[in-house]
Amino acid sequence: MPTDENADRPPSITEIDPFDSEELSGDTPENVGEAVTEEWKASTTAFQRIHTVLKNTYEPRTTGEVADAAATTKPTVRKHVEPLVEAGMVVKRERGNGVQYVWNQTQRRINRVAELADEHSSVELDRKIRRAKERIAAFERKYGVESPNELAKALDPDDDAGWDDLATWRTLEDDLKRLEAAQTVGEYLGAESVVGRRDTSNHA
Amino acid sequence: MRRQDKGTISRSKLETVETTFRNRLNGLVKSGEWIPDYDVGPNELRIELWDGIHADRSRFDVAWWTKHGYRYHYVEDGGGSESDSHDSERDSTGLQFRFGWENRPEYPDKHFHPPENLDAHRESCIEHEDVKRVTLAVIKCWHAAATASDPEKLNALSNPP
Repeated sequence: MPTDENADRPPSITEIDPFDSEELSGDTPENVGEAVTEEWKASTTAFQRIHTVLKNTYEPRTTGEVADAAATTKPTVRKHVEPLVEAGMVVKRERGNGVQYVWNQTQRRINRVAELADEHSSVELDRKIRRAKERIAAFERKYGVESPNELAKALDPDDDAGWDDLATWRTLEDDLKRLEAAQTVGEYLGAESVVGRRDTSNHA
Repeated sequence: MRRQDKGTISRSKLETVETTFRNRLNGLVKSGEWIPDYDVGPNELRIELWDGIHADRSRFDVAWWTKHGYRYHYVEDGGGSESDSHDSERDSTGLQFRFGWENRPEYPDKHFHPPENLDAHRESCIEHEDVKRVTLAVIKCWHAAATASDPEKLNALSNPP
């Protein structure tokens, strides 16, 4: 971050140079895709790219698919994915015709529950849970169905807003479970939590 | 044709979007806000910027889903107004555009809605499907247009099919 006496004023756009590589300086190139790949490669290591790709891999991908998405080669993927597999962050599945990798959702989900429990008091979690339930009820009323799966069956392929709502509804259902899990974890950790909960109750 | 379920909002991908904007545009990023709530069914990540193509302020409302798709909806204040950007009403007089990726049979999967006609679906210059490169491409298109104050520079395909 630049430090000068004008630090309070936001920079003007001409002061910001977002890109390191030649391909992306100047006018938007005709093949933005290639230029962006070159920029990404210039500003990261292969491991960083593989990590970013895997972190955002919700459905299993083959070594080749990971390599393409990470702009690298299959041998490089195989080399760099092993420590992630050993650390339990990536799940490796051996299939008849090859290997697949997927991010360990379980770990991420557990971490999110723990963060929620850690960062919010029981009262705050209650409030969020109420909010989630209100919004879910609003979707049930709006569409006259009882679940996201029912809505998915009923939606017209052209109903953009409806498909957006479906995704939000599914998110809400998942978030509700996570919030409720956080409450349980919070109670379990209680006053003995070593990570310091912002709890407004009278615990010691 | 059945339309594909998008899954849920992907907070992980949106966190990558925010990090990329902050790393690349640095002090131009005014704020990043989860709408309505990070923990309770967020619909989008709102990134506000200290500059724009015609206006002095602008924002991207971004969504990525776990199974398929993304949307980068860009909005500028109309007429260079200095209204508080916590206005929840989109100011429809300002320049807008959208880059999207959706599974639609009758339109190109990856499409661009140009400023002059938000309902039109043009083929998008952004071919990638991973959050990092898509975000870099969006930033590049915006930066080129904003530096030149010229929206023509937004979608590098100047003669879409």
